Amino acid sequence: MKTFKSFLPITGSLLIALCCSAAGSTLFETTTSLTPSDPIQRGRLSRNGIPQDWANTETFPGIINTDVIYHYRTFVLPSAALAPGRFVQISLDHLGPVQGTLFVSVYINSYEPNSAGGPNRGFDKNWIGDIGFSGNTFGVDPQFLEVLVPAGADLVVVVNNTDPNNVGVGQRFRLLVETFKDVLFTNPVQQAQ
Amino acid sequence: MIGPTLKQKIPTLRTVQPLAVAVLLVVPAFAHGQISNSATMQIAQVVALKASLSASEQKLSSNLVFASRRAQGKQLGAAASLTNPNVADATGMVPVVVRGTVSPELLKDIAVRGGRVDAIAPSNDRVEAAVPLAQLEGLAGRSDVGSVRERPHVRTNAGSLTTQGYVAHRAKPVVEGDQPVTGSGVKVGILSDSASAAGVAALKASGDLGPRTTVLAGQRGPANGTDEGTAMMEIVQDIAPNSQLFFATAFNSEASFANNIIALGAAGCTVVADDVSYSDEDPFQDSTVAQAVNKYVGTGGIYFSSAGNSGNVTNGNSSAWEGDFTDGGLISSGPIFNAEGRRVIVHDFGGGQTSNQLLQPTGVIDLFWADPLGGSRNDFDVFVLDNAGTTVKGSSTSVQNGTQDAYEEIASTDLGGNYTNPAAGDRIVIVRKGGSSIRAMHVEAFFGEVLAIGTSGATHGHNAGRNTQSMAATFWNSAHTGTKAFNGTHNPTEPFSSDGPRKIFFKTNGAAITPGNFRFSTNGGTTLQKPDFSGADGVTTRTPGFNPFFGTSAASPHGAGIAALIRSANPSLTNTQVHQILVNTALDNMAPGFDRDGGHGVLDATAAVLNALH
Repeated sequence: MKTFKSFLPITGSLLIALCCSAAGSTLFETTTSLTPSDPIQRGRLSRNGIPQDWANTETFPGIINTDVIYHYRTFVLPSAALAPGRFVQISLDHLGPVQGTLFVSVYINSYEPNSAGGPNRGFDKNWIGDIGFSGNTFGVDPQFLEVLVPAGADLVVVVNNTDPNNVGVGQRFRLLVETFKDVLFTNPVQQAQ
Repeated sequence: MIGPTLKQKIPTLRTVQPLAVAVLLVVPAFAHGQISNSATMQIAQVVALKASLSASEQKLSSNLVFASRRAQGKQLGAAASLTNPNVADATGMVPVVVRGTVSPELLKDIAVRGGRVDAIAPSNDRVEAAVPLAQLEGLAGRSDVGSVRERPHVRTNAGSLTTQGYVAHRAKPVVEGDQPVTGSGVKVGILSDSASAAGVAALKASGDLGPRTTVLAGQRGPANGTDEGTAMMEIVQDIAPNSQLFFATAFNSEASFANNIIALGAAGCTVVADDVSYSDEDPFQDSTVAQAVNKYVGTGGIYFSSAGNSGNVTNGNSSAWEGDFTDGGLISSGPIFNAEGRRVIVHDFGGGQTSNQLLQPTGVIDLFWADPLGGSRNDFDVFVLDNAGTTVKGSSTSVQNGTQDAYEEIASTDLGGNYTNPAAGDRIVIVRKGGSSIRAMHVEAFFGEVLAIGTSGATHGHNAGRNTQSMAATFWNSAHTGTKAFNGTHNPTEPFSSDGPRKIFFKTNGAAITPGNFRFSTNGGTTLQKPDFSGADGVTTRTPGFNPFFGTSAASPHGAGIAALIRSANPSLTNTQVHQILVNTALDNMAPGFDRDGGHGVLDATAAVLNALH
């Protein structure tokens, strides 16, 4: 498994820097929860029931509840950390205890909610996919999505809560980011930085 | 003739009242409030109607009797509220299953009566036809007809998506190894609801299906299908990329499904997989589809099917109850039954519970018992009451007197039956006609809705047939470690995966396996260790609507793909040898050793192919 050095800056973003060579598909893994000190956004992506895949099936789902405040945290994976093919699969394991109150979306380079007007208020800027649902499937199976990251782009994984009044904040989750060379889940070769 | 007879024998509510009092006295379970006096009276009246049926009517399912009588303006008594006026279509035709001896004369008679033959089962004991409502009784009166009933209901076994199973099942090292085994030379057949022309073409264009992928002529399936067959083929193509895929629908009808199994074999498919269940598939004897599987496997093929998504005891969500009929009290001590000379005994599901509640609304409830197909002489009926146990909401009270199957089905009114407003909390009640023998029973909510009192043995029919490789499902990331190979230990089956084992009491020809012993409690029959294996689900496919693709429907094609790799690695292996390799190399999951949830364990393509090569 790859090992990474990570740190949590005051912006609420987790920047992940590759420190060591390793084999296998796991790029990043963390078990954590959102906190009241995480950044806030007004509104959130709509859950359309379609997880993004490597065929780019999902289109931007739209946003809802623009008068509601939600917390979010970003996990930034630098472009150099991705396998050459830049096929990325992200799993969210809801550890609870309350299921269905967290959501994952994926952007490139930056996440800029509420940065613009219009119907999407910046949520659509740099968006490349989301997980479609909240909560483990059947209560036990971690959710997942696939994204194909453009060359040279950093990967930004966003986790936000989905209910008003901070419901979802404090709920534990395990975020797993895997990277592959191709659609056949080929592991990246040994990398060094 | 039937009308006057009914007037004499169907009493008014007033005359029934003493019966209710008597019932209260003799059935302790009623004191629990599960079945009220009024419901008991309704049950009694409906059951009493059976005694007035003509010989021809006795071969019709109760739902068809009610509809036929209604069409003829005949009296129905208490069954009037249980009659679905929409059994026939707008042209007056009723889609039916005719069980009996199929001959040119029978087929001609159906045509003469203005009917249409849709399919004949390869076992030649079943015709699926559409017959004018007014002709049902006459058709049933033929000596070569054993029974006529409504068409069964059908389901696939999917929840809803390339498959991570390629890594999880360790197919990747086989396909991409130094000496790759890719499924080359092996034809694989898939049966499901549909494979649309547009869906197949799109996946051929994207490279997700091979250019030689073939749909048998006229067998794409219904135009309103979900393309689940396309998603299943995609999984096989991912696991065994150079295999050649064939598809035929299993959704036209049950007999057509059976014929298409044979047709795929004739097309050269040495591996076939499906994900379909029909509601009248018998748990205790091979019926139409299981017989076709037997025939196909007899030619050397290996057959996979989804175990089903009907829940299991381990997770406390079974939609099935199996056990011996247990006397829960006599409800036939009133004048009606004295006049009819009938006694009816209510079944005790355990601990004095004379009803079994549906924890979720269901559209179809099926009851089977251990009698041979086409030869049931023991008469059981099934009712569904409301939550309070005061009103009969649906019933199936067909006669079994020697020529019928041991089968009753209640369907909701929108599915052609007489069950009104299905709701959570409704209660299933089973009754036995006096004089009928105690038998092993199987009752289920067909679409997987949970029963308050459930048992193991949810998988049945051809899904759990002796010659079927029955597939349970385990999520590709069930170990919660990402895209890694299964190890068995950390790969539990999905909470919804149907459990085994499967008890059967009859050989395919109807002969008893243990003559005179048709009960679980006395270890009658024989036990099939089902399901056989666990396969991946929750995987990504390119077929719209199947991303992710959950359910044992996804596990079945994973099994087929791995079998194709084995057959490609060593074409000289028999189907029995392929099965044994899968057993020998499966990674034990769930309880140690074989278990009712995951079978022998999770399939391992690399170990299986290495075993096949050496």
